[in-house]
Parts: sequence; C-alpha cells; structure tokens
Amino acid sequence: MNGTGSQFDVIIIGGGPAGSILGSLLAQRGRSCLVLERDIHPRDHVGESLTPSTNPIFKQIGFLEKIEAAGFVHKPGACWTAPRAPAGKFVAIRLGDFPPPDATQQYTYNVERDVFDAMLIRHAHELGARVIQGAGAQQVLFERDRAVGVRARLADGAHHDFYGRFVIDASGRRCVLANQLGFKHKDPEFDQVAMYSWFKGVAPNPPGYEGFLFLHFLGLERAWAWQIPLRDGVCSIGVVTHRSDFKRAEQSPDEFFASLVDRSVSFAHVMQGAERIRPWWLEGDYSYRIDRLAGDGWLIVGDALRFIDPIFSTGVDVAAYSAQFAFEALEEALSGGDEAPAWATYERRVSDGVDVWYQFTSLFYKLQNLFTLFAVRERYREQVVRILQGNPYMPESLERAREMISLMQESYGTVMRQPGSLLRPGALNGTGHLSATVAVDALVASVLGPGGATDPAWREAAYQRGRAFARGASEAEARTIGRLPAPVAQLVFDLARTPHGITDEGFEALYAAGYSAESLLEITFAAAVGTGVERRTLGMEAIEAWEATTGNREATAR
Amino acid sequence: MRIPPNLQLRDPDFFHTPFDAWRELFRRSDDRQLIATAVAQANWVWSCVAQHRPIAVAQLSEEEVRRALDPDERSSVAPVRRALLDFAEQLTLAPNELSQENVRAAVAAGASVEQLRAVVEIAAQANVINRVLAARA
Repeated sequence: MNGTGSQFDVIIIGGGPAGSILGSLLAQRGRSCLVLERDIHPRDHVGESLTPSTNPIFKQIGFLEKIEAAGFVHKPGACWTAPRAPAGKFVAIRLGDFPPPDATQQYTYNVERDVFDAMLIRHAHELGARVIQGAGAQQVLFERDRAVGVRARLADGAHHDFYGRFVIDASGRRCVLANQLGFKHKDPEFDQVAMYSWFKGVAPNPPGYEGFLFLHFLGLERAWAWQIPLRDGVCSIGVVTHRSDFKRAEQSPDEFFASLVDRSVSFAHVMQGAERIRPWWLEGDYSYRIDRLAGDGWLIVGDALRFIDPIFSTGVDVAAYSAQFAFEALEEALSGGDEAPAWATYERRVSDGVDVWYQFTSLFYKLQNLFTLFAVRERYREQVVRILQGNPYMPESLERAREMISLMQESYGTVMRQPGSLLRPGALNGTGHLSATVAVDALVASVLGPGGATDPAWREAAYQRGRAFARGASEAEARTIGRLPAPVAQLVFDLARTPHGITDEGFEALYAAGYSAESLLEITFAAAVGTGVERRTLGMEAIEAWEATTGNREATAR
Repeated sequence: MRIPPNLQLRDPDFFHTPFDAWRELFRRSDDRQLIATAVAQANWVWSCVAQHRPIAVAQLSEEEVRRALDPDERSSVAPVRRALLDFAEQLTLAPNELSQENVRAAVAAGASVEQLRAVVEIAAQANVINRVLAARA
C-alpha cells in the first residue's frame, strides 16, 4: 500500500460531469484538487440530452466554446407524442421561448457522452486539476469520523491512499461514500429500468424541429421512450419502464423493445427503417435517495446524491449545480470559514432543487396527460418551459416551481376523483369503450382545469343546465339549477337548445357587460359538455331498456 | 363577435388528448363520418359539416352521402344506414323523446346494438363539439 501525504485541498471521486466541473472550478481558483476516475475516458454513458441551465456554468469554466466547436447537435426544445396520436402529431416546447435572464443562447445540446465526458475531464486537467484515470475509489478514509482521503485501486492493480482536506463523492450511481456509510436507500416510489442503444436510419425530426428531443408515451403507466438526435445521423433511443413490466414480459431485450415500439404510432413510425448499431445497454439500479449530502470533511455531488429518472434530462443539471454549490461551500471552508454552515447551505440548496425535480418526475409519472395539458396551455406554458430549462435551485425559480407543483397536485387530485376521466392513467388504453363521458370529461378538464376564468359554481350550473335542457327541461325549470347571471343563463339556453341560434349580438352584449372571452368559453364548454353527456345517457338508457325488454342477446351477437 | 377563434382552442394541440379518443371512434366504421355529418347538419353547424362531409364522401360516394343527408331522398338509402341516421338525428333534435321504440325500429331495420351504441357515442360527442364551434364561428 502506498500513501500520499495531505497534498490536495480537495479529492474528488469520479470524473463524470459533476467531478470534472468541480475540478475545473477549483483549479480555476488555484486550489489543488485530484480527480480519481475509475474508467479511462472515453467511456459510454447514458444521458445525452442536456438542459440550457448548464450553459452558464459551462461558460464560467470556459467549456461552452469547446462544446460549440465540437459540433454537438443543438437542442432547441423537446416534443411529446401520445401513444395513439397519428404520426407527425406532437406537442412541442421550445426552450428559447422564455429565455432566463442569464441565458447565453436559446438552445442546449445533445451530446455523445463518451466524447463529451472525455472532453470535460480533459478540460479540468488543462485548467490544472490533477486527474488520474483508471483509479477506482475503494473507500473513503476517515480519521476520528472526519474524511481525510481516499483509497483507490489504480490501473496497475495496486492500491494507493490519497489524502486531502476535503473529499467529494462524485462517483455517480456507484455512490461510493453513501454505500460505505449506509446512507443509500432504494426509492420506494420508483422502480424503473431503462434500456437504450444507438440507432441509424431513425426518421429525422420534422422540419423546424431539428435537434429536438422526442419523448414518446407508450400508454403504459411509468413508461416512455426517448429519441435523441446525435451527430452523423445517429439517434440515441431508449425506453424506460417499470421493472415489473420488463420482468413479466419474459422477452429478450429486442423483443421487449419491439413490443414497446408498437405501443406508439409515432414511435413505430420513426423506427420503421431504424437499425441498431450498438449493443443494448441496460440500467437497473435506478432510483435511490441518500440520507445526508454532507458530513465532516465530505460532500456528495451529482448522481451520487440522488437519482430518479432522466425524463427531464436532469442528470447534468444536477451535476453542474451541485458542483457549483459544492465549490462555493468548499471555497468558504478553504478560506478559513466555518465548515458547518457552509455545508448546511450546500445541503439545503441542492436538496431544495433536487426535491423539485423529484416532485415533478413523480407528478409526471402519475399523470402524463395532465402534464401535457399544462404544457400546451398558454397560461402555464412559461412555467413549464422554465422548469424544463433546468436550474430549479435559485429562490425565484424554486418558488415558481413549487407553485406549479402545487397546481399540478391540485389538478391531480381533481382528476383522480373522477373515475371516468380520460386524464387518468391508462384511460386511453382500451379501444372498445371510449365513452363520450370520458372524452368530454377530458375536454372539460382541458379548459376548466385549475385556475379557470370563471366561478366554478357557474361552470357547474352551466353544465347541469346543459344536461337538463337535453332532458327536455323548460327554461323556467333550468333556472332553478344553480345560479347564473341572466345574460349568461341566456347563452347557456341558446347553446343547449339550438347551437345555430347563438348570435354575435348576444356575445357582444356579454362582452359589453364585462364578461371575458375566456370565461365565456368556459361557460360554453361546460354547457356543451352537459348536453353531450346527457344525450349519451339518454341514448344508452333507451338501448338498455330495449335490451331488458327483449332479453337482447341475439341482437348483440348479430 | 363571438368567442375569438384565437382563444386557446386555436392551438391544435389543445384538444389533443380528448380528440385522440374521438378519432379512435371514427376509425372503426365508414358510416361514422356520415353520422357526424348528419348531426352537424341537424344542428346547422356548417363548419362541422364541412369537416366531416368530404371524408364521408371519400369513404362512400357523393351520391350516397347526398341521398343520406337529404330528407327527401333518405327513403332510398339502405335500411340499416337509414335507421342509424334517424337514430342519430333523434338523439340530436329530441333526445328526451328517444325510447326503446326507436331502438326496436332500428333493430328491426337490421341495425345491431353495437352499431347503435357507436351512434350514441358519436352523436353525443358531435353535439358537444358542434356547440363549441358554433360559439366560435
């Protein structure tokens, strides 16, 4: 066993983005740091899609120019497709639509991680960080409960102890320190697996959407696919699914993948002529949390501090910002400040931001359709875009994200209280019994969701009166249902009875009386939906009555 | 001026999920576009007629669609189709008067219960969409 005295300010376990960015920041500041990387770059890694939030940090360490010069694919946004939507139909979010104040550009990048990570660790080295590749950290060395160094197995097989004032675990999902201290726990909510590979011959993105990340929903709870265009006509394609679905299928990776492709019209369309050019890469150890992110002489950064799911391309965002915040905490401590408050600040900043990612991911999986509806609605679009831009760590973005989470949770509760809602998970899975009730529920939810422009009691009254009119209620009878201002009640009546009878003059009077177009749209929808729901009820009742009378079976079989 | 057409619904993605369900219904039978046309015609919502009629014509023929939608010529249409159209129009114009007698008549003309259920789904949804579009005309 060889040993090296306390010659480093900081020892970093892991030379992925978190370790390399932290190494770069420290080296820029003239701190001595050692990066111990287990692999020898370049090496494969999942997570090719970045968020724009990382641009300022890459700029800060002088790496943004290198990314640009390397010619990585520009990623201006992300698109979703629904499982049964026709090919070519998608929801798009353009990340540059609402540029943050510190935006350096309106796009981010899709990067081949083997090349990107190799460039980044080399960059750290060029800035002055000491980098040893092929050095797998075995354990963190402690003296009197304080981390003082790292024991690593070098490429030649020998073990070596390195000492420093601080030890940073950036070992990714190996979680060297958390495993050693027993701080790592499997996440109770997520049990996902991912399989991915590179393909050629994937249909190119539609014109105007070059470089966009495509997410294909597969109509399975907790399952989705990514399609990330890389350079030279290569596409990273991956699927994330619940572990139990993967196990239950008892299929080879190729068969299982093919079965998932077939679940989405759009995904199947783009994969028609695709050819896999690399082996499958399976990721199993997927979702976990870590009890503590900081301790006496140590911090945890990047994937090593928590990993959930890459749906929002958060991997490098968490890596970059945890590295940035760790750098600030380390600078405080290295400059003679008190370690404890600096660590506490670090832990709070990182935890707050990562918790936001976690909650978003969790909500997303609970209700994919709902998330999409928020994304396409004008009034929430900016908030959704800002979330997808990354960096939920700053106070104002944290506050905005929490507000959005609260709205989504409220909507989630509303949807789940409606058994027939099309927005419920799996509601679109069946093909034979999509009912008007279900579909119009979704229509209502899409317009009358959270933050509607009208009093909810008015919408309910409009809906119930729409139903009553379809049942043949008179105007006087309908007036007893809920309360509506007279001109609005007239609109509901006209609309329910004779849709062609509503007039421009009627609307102009309503506008003149101060009703907004948006609120009238909601009223219109509520009333229209009421008429549809009641018609369906009446139609089905007539059929059932006839069936009950005749004993029906022969007619159904006809 | 009615509800401004650029208000939210203008975004084609806005209806995305619910319309998926509706489209799914239409995929399964040629006559469904014809029925949606008949409902829109009964509601006098010509923008919806303009949407569905050309598809019905493409699936059937101009002559068949014209006869099916013209009250004076409907008697020349095949009995099952005629029964389904009558059922949809009844559900549109006087839903509260619909009874098992209408079902009995349609079945007697050769319609199946499954077909009638589909007509109910389509007519109910078309009645919703007709009204929304009428308000935004």
